[in-house]
Amino acid sequence: MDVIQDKSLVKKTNKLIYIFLPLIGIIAYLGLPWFGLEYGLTDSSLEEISEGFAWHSVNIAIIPLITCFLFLLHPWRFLPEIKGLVIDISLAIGTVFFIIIAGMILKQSLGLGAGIQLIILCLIVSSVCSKLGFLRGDGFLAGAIILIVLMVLLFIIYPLGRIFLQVFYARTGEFIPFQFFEIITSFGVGRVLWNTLVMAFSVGLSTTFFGLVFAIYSVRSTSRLRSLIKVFYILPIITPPFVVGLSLILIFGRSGSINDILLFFIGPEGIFTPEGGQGIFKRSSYIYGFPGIFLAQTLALTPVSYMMLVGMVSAISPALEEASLTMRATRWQTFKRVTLPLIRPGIANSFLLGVISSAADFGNPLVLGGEYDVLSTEIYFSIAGSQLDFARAATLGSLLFGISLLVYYLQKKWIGKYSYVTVTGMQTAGNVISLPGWLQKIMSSIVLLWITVVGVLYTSIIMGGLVAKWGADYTFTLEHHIELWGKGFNSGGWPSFFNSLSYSLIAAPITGLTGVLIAYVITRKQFKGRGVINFGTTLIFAIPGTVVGVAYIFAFNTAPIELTGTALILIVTMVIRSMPVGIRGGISALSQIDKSLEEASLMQRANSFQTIRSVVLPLLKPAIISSIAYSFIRAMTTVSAVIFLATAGTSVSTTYILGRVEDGDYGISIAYGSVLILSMLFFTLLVQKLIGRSRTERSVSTK
Amino acid sequence: MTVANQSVGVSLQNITKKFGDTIAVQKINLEFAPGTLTTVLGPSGCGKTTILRIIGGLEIPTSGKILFGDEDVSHLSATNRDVGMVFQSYALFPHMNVGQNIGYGLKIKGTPQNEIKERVADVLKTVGLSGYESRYADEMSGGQQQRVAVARSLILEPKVLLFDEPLSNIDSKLRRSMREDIRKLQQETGITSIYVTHDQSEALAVSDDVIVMNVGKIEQMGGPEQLYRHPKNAFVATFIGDANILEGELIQVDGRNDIQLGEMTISAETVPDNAHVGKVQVAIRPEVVTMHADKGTNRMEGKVNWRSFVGSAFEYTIETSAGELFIVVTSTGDQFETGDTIYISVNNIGVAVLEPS
Ligand SMILES: Nc1ncnc2c1ncn2[C@@H]1O[C@H](COP(=O)(O)OP(=O)(O)OP(=O)(O)O)[C@@H](O)[C@H]1O
Ligand SMILES: [Mg+2]
Repeated sequence: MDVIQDKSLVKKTNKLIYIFLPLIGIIAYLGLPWFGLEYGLTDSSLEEISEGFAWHSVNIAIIPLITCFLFLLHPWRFLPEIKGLVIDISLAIGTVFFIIIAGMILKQSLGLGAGIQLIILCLIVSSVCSKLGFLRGDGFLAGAIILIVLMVLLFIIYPLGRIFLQVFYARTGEFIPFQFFEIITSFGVGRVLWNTLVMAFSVGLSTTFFGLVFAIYSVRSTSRLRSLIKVFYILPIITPPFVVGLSLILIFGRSGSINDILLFFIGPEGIFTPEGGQGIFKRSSYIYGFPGIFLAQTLALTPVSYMMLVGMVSAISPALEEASLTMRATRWQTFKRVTLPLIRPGIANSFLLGVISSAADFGNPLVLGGEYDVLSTEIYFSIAGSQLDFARAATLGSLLFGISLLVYYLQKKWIGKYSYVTVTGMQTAGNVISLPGWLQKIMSSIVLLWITVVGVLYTSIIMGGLVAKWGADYTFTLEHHIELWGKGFNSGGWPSFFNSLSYSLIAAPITGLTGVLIAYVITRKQFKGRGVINFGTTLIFAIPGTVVGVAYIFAFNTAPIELTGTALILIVTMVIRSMPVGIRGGISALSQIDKSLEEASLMQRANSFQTIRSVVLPLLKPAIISSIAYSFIRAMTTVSAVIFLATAGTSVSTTYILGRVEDGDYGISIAYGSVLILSMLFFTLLVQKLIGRSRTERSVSTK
Repeated sequence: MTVANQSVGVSLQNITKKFGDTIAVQKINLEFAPGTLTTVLGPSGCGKTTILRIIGGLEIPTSGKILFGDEDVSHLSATNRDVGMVFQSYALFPHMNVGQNIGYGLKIKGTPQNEIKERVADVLKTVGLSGYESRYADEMSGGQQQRVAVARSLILEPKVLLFDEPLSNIDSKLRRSMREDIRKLQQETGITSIYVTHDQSEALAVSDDVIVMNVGKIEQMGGPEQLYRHPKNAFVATFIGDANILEGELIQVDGRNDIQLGEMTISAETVPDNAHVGKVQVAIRPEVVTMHADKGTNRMEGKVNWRSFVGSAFEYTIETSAGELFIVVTSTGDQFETGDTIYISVNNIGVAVLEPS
């Protein structure tokens, strides 16, 4: 390797390595709690915080402090350059390992100060690497890559590792190599696995079918209904998934509207009830179990499939179909033999995505599952409450993760590398071939039915919170909302709402910007080890939320990284959970700007950081705003992982609502749900308005 | 505009670049002399842009070394290479006006605002766009945008200047004057420049040296005249200008090289080192063939197969015993009719013996 010779660059990097970074390290030691706080920074007393500082006594924190001073003094500056750099790197890496291993052995959890020191040490490593010619001197890129790798290692790989380890250890701490097989062959697991697969497969089929119907309908039909379709897909995005489940209970549940209506018409005795009989009609709970989960997931996931397919359908060149028509094929033959085969990859993609999303869904099975157990809820029940069967949770978690990864792998293999880029709703203008009349009629009725169902469900969500007791007492009341919002900011729904809001507000910009950074690194840069980052991002995409939840409990419950119970772990979870949105947003945003603009900036001697700041970010502003907004909504509505990690002090909206559901307070839950949906809707419209305005700024093109 | 205090040469040593299985550039060795303008010419997809991007640091070669003068720059990124580039799409930042676009590099360097202003005005004057500072790219014509792109690449006084088909988006009339402007500017500043194009007349007009490439390899490098008069092989001969490729026989008489072509003997100006006496391929430029009505001496008989008028000249296809010949005769000269039997003579300036393949 050749050392970078550019003088000014070397000077800048040296300043970073030998002045700024070590200074930050020393300040972190002095000004921040170096050791972990039991209750997090915000909920600890002043005394507890001051005990977290390392300068109270001589302890392991002295080592990184010495390292920082060594860098500041830089006594090896007179050595030959290469030797000096080797000392730099060994010292930094050595200290990192020391902090982590010492924390592990001494069971001391690390705090904010230690975290910052770890980060600056990694930045020192990356700067030195860049000086050594790694990434050809691009220090910012080196730093970005190392931080991304670090993030993936710490918050994906390490927790996954802990899950796999847990699989082999009994509750007593005993090592049982074949525990995995014991558990998966134990009673019930086979059924759970079967249930999960059947559900996932069915939902994959149904979401793809409906998504395809809507996609074709919105592009090809001549009906007015098509404009409604474009609106409807926004609803599931802003709705926490299980709220759809709740509204299904309102309509189809035991004391739901359908039962009421049937009861009204048939009467409690039934029409043909023999005298003295018990009555044929019983309030049925048919919605719990397969039908309910299936319906809820189909409703919630179809829009995703729609968005994926609509781009594909509208990208079909009408010329191909016209060619077929001129060869005397009928419109139906054309549709079957030309149109459908063209969108086959999209169909496969949508199916696989439906399978993954269904298997990973947690909220709906929790609310609607009844006797129908699926993996995601089984994992939860293995450690929720008094069970605490960690081995079982870990085993089922590994199983779920395995399935998800397998399907994800299939999807990537079949559909091509960056298939997740194509999820956009882009429409092309053109003279499209209209549908055969009978087909359009069938589709129209499907769409109409769908819109009616969605309309009824959302009406019931709004109304459900405004009546005394759905199914029994329909008098209008604000009682639920008053209990939630009218009893001061320290009770009812406010604390959880504020928690959700503040965590999401922190998580969303981090997600949005990291997403752009990852997208930039994986789409625009060539370097050795890019595969590692690609693999890491694949894991982020594939890992189900429940698995994240369980894994984080295992990974961050003990020293050296003790985060459970803090707000930080929830923020991290939100960041990781909404990262796919951020990365996808980043990739599609980057695909809008000509690569040569960035290259022109590089040729003007701007480095990657300056290029991102001065060229990429300004051009991507609208795209990034919407990506951050979307991440924010995801963070606000996520359930599956946070439910494992939220505690009484850090409960968020979704976990609060689910808690009330478990207590049977449907009125309260649905009232809260409706407020959450309305505020997300308001927020979305606001952001769209803001972006709409900035769209009118200069268009992004080079010619 | 200040003149570069010292120009550096650029050399590529054993450069190979693969994209997956595609070999875009294969084992290339090249020397670009300090202060010269060299064009890289070749058909689409032959690897021209790739070479340019490798020199600029935008593409990392799979193997090989790049030197600027004596300095090995292989490990430097584009940011640190001190190279300017004019992109085919111009790549003007759409969110910045002309002044900000051109001053971008200076601003990144931390140059004081008033100095940036001065130097931007200075360089804008050089490209003939004084006073355009506050325009945006979409408010200018293609030619003006192109000049802004040139100005931007010049302002940091790079060691090496790269042009990737800078004129391909400009209509043909304007192209002629713009290529002269670029050439003048290059000669004034003395910056070593490398210019990619697939337009051979552009290449011949502006450059000190021309490199002809085909499927990732260098076919030949040399001055424009040298390439035209002494193409090494049929590819170069037909890519630069038009040429008839015929089979002849190389004979040596009294240590002199002659080419026997049908009934004619043409003295060969130069012969490639590895050509042997016997059957050889010969390239003949269409404009060095003359038609006569009488047999004369050392002429070859032929028949006019086809004649067409193309404005400044007539083009003929002639059937001879050595094969079919395509020739061009200025419209002011004597003309013949289709079917006429004629006799042709050849001026040996436009005849080259090709290397055996
Ligand atoms: N980023 C890339 N990934 C894969 N293949 C590439 C890439 N860039 C270039 N190639 C391939 O390398 C070869 C050379 O490409 P290059 O762009 O250098 O050609 P060119 O001579 O500039 O062509 P043109 O005149 O059309 O611009 C082509 O076969 C091209 O397909
Ligand atoms: Mg090119």
